Amino acid sequence: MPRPLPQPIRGPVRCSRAARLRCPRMSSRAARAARGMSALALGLLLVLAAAVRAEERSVALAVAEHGFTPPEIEAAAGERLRLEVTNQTAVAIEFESFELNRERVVPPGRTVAVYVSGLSPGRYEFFDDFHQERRGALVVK
Amino acid sequence: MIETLLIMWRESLEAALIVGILLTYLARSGERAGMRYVWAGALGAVVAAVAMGVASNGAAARLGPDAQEVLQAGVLLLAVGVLSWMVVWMHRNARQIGGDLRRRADRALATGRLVGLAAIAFAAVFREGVEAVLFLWGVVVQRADASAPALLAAGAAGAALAAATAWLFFRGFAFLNLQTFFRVTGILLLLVAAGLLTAGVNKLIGLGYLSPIEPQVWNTAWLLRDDSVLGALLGALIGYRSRPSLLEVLAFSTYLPAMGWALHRADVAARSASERGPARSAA
Repeated sequence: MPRPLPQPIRGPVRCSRAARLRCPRMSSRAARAARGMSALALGLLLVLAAAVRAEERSVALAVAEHGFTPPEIEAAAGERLRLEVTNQTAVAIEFESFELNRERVVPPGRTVAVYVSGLSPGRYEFFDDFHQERRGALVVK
Repeated sequence: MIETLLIMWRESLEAALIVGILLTYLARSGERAGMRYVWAGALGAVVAAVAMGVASNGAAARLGPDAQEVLQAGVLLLAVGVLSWMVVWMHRNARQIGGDLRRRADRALATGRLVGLAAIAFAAVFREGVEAVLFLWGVVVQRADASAPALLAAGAAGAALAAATAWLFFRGFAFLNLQTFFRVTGILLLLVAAGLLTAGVNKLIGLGYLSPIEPQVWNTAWLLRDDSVLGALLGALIGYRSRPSLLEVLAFSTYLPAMGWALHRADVAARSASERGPARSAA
């Protein structure tokens, strides 16, 4: 009794490493693998970064027509701060600081929490990007 | 007046530059039909930004500031994914610049890949669009007198100036031959993607979800200030910041080699495919 002939392969063919030369879709597989790996690496990094946390201290910072209240905040080096920026004006403001590397829009009447942490001693200026005459500073000692 | 113009110039610059890259790329690859997708994405983002401005501002605010910031970070990270995929695709195209480019672009259109272009344009415009809407809204509310129209005109002029800046920037690419052009725009887009990723990470740090690990790795403000014209241009395009945190530097510098590897693999695959199939090179 003759053995049955091998059936022709139907449907999508999986691309093995050995079959690369016959396999035109390898490039997108490689790209997918690379994306997967970089996503995984980044994910690990982010989990690691999220784990490194310290106690936080809240500091209220109000923005009125005349500027920031208080105009200067003091903090200890390395402290984790939660800046509670309240917009007391009638229009949106943007809390911004090149020194702190932060930028947040605050709608009128709202409070937004901006986190900063691990700062070394120094003077870190901030301003309202939409009304640049309003300025203040965080002094870290 | 000048301040309004400058703020709107800065807020619109990033969107103009990224939309500019996409349009320039499509124009030079002869794929003018794809431009519709880019414009659709950009216009959709303007509508979404206005809607978000209305939802988060004024008496009937329905969206908390944190939810808005998280949404923006999400749009940024999503755009990085789409952009990465686009760059790999563009790179494969650039290897086959020839008579069959138009056909390949048609094929891309057929597979719906140009939707990716719309997504990038959307993210780029949406990101700064919300801020621009809230800022202009403030201008109108604050000056409910005769000077409001003049200030709005200054804002519009700022946005137009940003478009002109982007146009001039990409005019500079016109002298490149096609092969070089696609290589340069490919590298530029990678840097744009790394910048968007860094911006998304920066938002998550500011929200307190991530630790910066080290808040300031270096300070290059003596070399290039964030608020200088070149600093703003580089900030808009590749996310330049004079004082980045360690986590942002890591995100930027992990992304680039990962993409470099993906592009290298795409190269290897394309080479073996063209060795294998003489039919393709003859087409």
